[in-house]
Amino acid sequence: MAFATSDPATSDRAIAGRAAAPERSAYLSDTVTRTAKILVVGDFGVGKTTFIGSVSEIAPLRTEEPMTQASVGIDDLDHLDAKTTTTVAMDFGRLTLNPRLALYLFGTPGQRRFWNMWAGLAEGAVGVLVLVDSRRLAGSFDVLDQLETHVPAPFAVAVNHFPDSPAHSPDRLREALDLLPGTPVVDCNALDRASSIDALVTLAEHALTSRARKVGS
Amino acid sequence: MNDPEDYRDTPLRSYVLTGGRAAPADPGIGVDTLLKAMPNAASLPMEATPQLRALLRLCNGGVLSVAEVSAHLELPVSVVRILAGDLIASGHLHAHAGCFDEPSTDLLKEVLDGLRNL
Repeated sequence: MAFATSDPATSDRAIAGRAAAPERSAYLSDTVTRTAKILVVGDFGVGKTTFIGSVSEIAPLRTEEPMTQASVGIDDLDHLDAKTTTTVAMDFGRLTLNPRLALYLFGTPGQRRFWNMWAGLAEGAVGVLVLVDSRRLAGSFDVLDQLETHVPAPFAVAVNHFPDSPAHSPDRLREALDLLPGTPVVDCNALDRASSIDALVTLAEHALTSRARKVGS
Repeated sequence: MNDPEDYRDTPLRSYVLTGGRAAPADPGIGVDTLLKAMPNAASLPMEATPQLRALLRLCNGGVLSVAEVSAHLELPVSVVRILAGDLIASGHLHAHAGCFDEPSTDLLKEVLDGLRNL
């Protein structure tokens, strides 16, 4: 647990000095004028930050938002010290897709009420990639249920493989997760860049076909 | 939520940094809105806060999203949206709007092509 920011003077120094001078490569090219975004959601410990780190052109960044009172009481925070429970973190990364367009990958806790902490996070997203740990599928039910019922953005499921993951066929997983027939399920190794990009391609393809179907109907 | 690493406390409350405001100056500023410093803008007024100065100094280095500015300055996105709105209103920053509307079919194709070509 980092208490470095507990001292206002330290905070202020960080704001005024060190933190404000990133590497040149941290900046986007001047030609980029448009952005797209993909949300990477999933249960805790499922590999969201690993996934983002594998594909991002910058070291993954973290931002923290003060928690609203609305979340306190709903979430089980009893075992945490009250002083340490006031922010929720979001890790994110970036991919410059062409000279004009940058794609942002935002990794957030799966529960929708957390997305709402970052205004407009889900609005206008290309889609949502749900990372799932096949060793503990139950942790994903809540997230998937909300996506199917409340979120207009298309989503795909990427099953992150851990060394001791049981070998389930995609069909078995689809059944176990009770997914709608059109929802893509892909295997993924969040440690591997190519594998992680493949999962994003699957989501983008799905977003495009969902759109074509919507326009066509 | 049960990962203590995802929580941290700071004694400096957000409303102190934003002069008590809770609503952003511009609702069109989102996490993926790109910020760019305007060339030849006037200096900030004497009373500008260290946070406002740090934000402008950071953006003078090049183009960054609101989310990146937030991470580099260690300020919440909600605070950066308000401060960036102030600097846009005063002519120091220019914003390329983030995506709030459903992405167009052309944008979806561009994203797919871009990912395939990585």
